[in-house]
Amino acid sequence: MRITTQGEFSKAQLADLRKAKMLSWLSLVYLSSVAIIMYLTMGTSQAMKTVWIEDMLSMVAPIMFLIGNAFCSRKPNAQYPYGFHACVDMCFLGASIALMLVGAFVVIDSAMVIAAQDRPTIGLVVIGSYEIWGGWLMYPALLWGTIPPIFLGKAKIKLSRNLYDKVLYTDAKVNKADGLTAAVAIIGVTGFALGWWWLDAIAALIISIEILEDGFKHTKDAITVLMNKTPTDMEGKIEKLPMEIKEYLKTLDWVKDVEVRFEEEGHILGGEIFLSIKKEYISAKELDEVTDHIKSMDWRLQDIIVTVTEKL
Amino acid sequence: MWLQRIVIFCIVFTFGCSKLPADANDTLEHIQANKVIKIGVVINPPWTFMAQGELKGPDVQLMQNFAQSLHVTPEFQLLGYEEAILALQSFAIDVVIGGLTESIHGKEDVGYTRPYYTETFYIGTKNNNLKKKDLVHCSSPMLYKFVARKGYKPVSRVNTSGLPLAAASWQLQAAGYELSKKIYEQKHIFFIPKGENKFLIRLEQFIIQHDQDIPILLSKVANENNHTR
Repeated sequence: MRITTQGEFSKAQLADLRKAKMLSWLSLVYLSSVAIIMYLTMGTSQAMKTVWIEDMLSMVAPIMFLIGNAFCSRKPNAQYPYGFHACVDMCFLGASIALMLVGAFVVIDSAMVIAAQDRPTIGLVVIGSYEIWGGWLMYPALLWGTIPPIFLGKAKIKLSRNLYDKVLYTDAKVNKADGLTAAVAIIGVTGFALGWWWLDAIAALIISIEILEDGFKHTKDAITVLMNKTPTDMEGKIEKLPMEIKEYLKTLDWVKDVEVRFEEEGHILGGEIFLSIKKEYISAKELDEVTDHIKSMDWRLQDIIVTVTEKL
Repeated sequence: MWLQRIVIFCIVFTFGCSKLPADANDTLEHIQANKVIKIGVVINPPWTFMAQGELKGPDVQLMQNFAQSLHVTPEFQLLGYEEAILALQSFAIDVVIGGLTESIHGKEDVGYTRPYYTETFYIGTKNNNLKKKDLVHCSSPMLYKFVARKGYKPVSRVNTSGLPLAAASWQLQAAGYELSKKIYEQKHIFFIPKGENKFLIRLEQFIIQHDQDIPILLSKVANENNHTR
């Protein structure tokens, strides 16, 4: 049995991976603090409840990233000759499905609150000798949920591109969404402070639709990856790399025609290249040289088979 | 960017506006304009009861004092529990009283205040000599399970003289019992319509300022009537 090489990341990328893991652990600590603060201040506000659920759900992505990367760094063996790269894709699917299911739940919950005309009723909170309306405490809680994710998300997006990690990218997008949802919730809280109870429920519905939309999109992306769809970039656009490889091979004078097919395998790309050649024979050494050159075009090209065939 | 501006505006506006929060249905404004506060009463002795054709009880007294603080007249209306919930939901009344507690069914359908009194139940003894598996006379059937949970045997037969008594602390103290073992606690609240946050704040401020009134009113009830449940 020929076992694929472990490969994966360069030294610089390993440094980025360490940073990404640190950011994931930091995210988990931060999100735990947000979930606790939101729970203590949410009262009967539907918008606050939705933000609380979303913040707890946001922990799924960094957890999946840490689990996926722990497994994919294992060496391939006879039982798993292709390695464990697919763990990352499975974790991506797990995180996305969790997001989608809970998104669906909060959409239904928020719609029911609007239908029932449920109004948030928030009383006083006594801190020492001060009596404060509980609604005022929601603002600092929501600001704590709005500002840090902006920075966390930006840092993760850059690293996710360096590592070609879609789970990390999803996590960064979720952080950005957290910031937006907290901002929408502030509008909702202001609404019921003004006596416009419906603004709280509508804010909750907007937030929950956004969660559902994100979850659906990411689930679709994750499923297509597992179905060996042609590789896409972080934003979902088709990768140009396969075509670039094809163009390069056509420049070789002994190549008559070429076809390629690639798939994503976690962080890396695997693929087969079929050559139709002009000459009668080609040596193994020549094939290896071509394979090595292709692998040098992009760090992700680690599991490549180049073969010669009469008919394409 | 536009979202950030709206958020900043919301924060500055609400903190700058001293009249907030507002009532969703202007309950406090209506009370002050009409000079009347409509109070739904669920009869539940000793909190609310009829005596010689007159409505009495600590909850009633507290509401009369609250109405006085608002310079309005209290208008009491006797209602069944479910009637009272429906009346609140349709804003036909402003508040419901009747010894209601945090654990009561139906609380989720209405708004409610912070607890105005925490009623603690004890097993009381005359000689502080309480042992596990002792028979304990329960002043109310609702205390049976709490007495049993603590390892005692609840009874309610007629001849219970000399037995320890499970009852509220204010009842035990009025009857000369020592408070030997705490068995249960329940927090009393008032119901208000949902979304009436300005009215709620006003009522809760009153509750905080008068948190010592209820124990005094309860001991008055215990001494006057020797009322047990």
